[in-house]
Amino acid sequence: MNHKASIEFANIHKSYQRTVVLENLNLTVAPGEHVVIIGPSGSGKSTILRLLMTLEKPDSGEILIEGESVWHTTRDGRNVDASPAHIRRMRGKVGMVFQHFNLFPHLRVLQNITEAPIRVMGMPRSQAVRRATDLLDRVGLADKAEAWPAELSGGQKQRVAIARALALQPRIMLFDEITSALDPEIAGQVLQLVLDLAKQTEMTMLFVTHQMRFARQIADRVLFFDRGRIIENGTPEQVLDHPQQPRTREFLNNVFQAS
Amino acid sequence: MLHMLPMMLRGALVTGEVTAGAIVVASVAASCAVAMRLSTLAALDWPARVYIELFRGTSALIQLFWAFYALPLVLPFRPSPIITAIVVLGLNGGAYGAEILRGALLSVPRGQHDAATALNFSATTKVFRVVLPQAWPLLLPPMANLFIDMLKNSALAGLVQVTDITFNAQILQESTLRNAEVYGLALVIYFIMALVLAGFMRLLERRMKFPVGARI
Repeated sequence: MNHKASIEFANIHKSYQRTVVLENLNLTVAPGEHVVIIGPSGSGKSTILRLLMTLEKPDSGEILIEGESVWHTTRDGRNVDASPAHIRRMRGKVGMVFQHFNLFPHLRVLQNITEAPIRVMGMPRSQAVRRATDLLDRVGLADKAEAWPAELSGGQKQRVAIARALALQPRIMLFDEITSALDPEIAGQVLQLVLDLAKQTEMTMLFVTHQMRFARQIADRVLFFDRGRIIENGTPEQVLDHPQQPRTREFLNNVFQAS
Repeated sequence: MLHMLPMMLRGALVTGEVTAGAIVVASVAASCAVAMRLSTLAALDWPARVYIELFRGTSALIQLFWAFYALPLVLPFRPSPIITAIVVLGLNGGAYGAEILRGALLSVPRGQHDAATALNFSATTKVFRVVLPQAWPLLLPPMANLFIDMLKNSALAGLVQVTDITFNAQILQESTLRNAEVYGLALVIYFIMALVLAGFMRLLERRMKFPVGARI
């Protein structure tokens, strides 16, 4: 039986100017798997998500989504740069929620969610509005459809951002420190929403987070990342409770002391 | 003074034509220049830079004189004074407009570009549905300044035989020698035209009614 991995990073290298951010990264994520990436700031965690979302291009190596290369295709047996159309098709399989929400300030909440289905998927407006209304209901903001983003609290903005990403029905969802800009109580509510979502769907999910309790609850697998490399890779119990590497222990001690 | 009014109003009409035409030319020139400036191709970036620096770095009056007196020597035809004025003043305004537009576009936060990409928007959708609507509110106040400036600069067109307010005012002054009335009337007409233009720009600004400035 041929089980295609949902996501595959093969020998990925990425640097900005002279700073190496990812060094020879190899990572495979199974369909439906929930992977949490932890590690110190600036360790390259978010870059993994940004590469998957095609917000950045790797310097070398191959990123495969469901067995297909994102940046390359084969033509006449040769590996060539993929066309913009191919990259957009691959991008369509992935959705992302950002640390700072990045809602469109000039569009009302409902429009923030309907814009992509209408313009990217060509969905009729009435259907897009129905879907957006359902999603808003699901994130508990059915009454905010006509509000401007600036009128919402941080937690509400992040819920809208989650609904917006879901509207395109991606097969892979990326969550980049989605509660770092929220106060702890609100963060808890947003994380609960994501936990519920994870239970209800079969999407592959990647999280970058500093919330260890959340990591333990949601993760099938935890990766500890430092200086562009995966230092530790295992179940939440293995990595969070019984870390093998001194660097992981040091990081976790610091995090637990801080909280 | 009343007998001067018809001639001054005819001049005002021409000033309006020159200004409106120049604003259209400036808007097109600024948009093209910015598209080229923001391109990753040096072959597009450099010509746009040269255009902007050339028109910002030299006097509008000399540009106008050069286009009116020198250019026809190399052109197979002689453009009318009003066309010359519209094109030159438009290109001059466009050079300033390009920098205003570029600043406004670049001030749209990177997160907005990221979100547009993550939602798989095409480049066109991204520009017209995400970037431009957010750049508008930042663009309009300095653009209003520029357009009012262009209205006043259009007085230079009077020096290349365009029969605008300034040109007609000079004729009236020579024939009547009533400096205070003639130039006073010219000032009042320019002022009213600037008020109308500013009012129009404010109206545009008011249409951009999303809560600007709030952190999203």
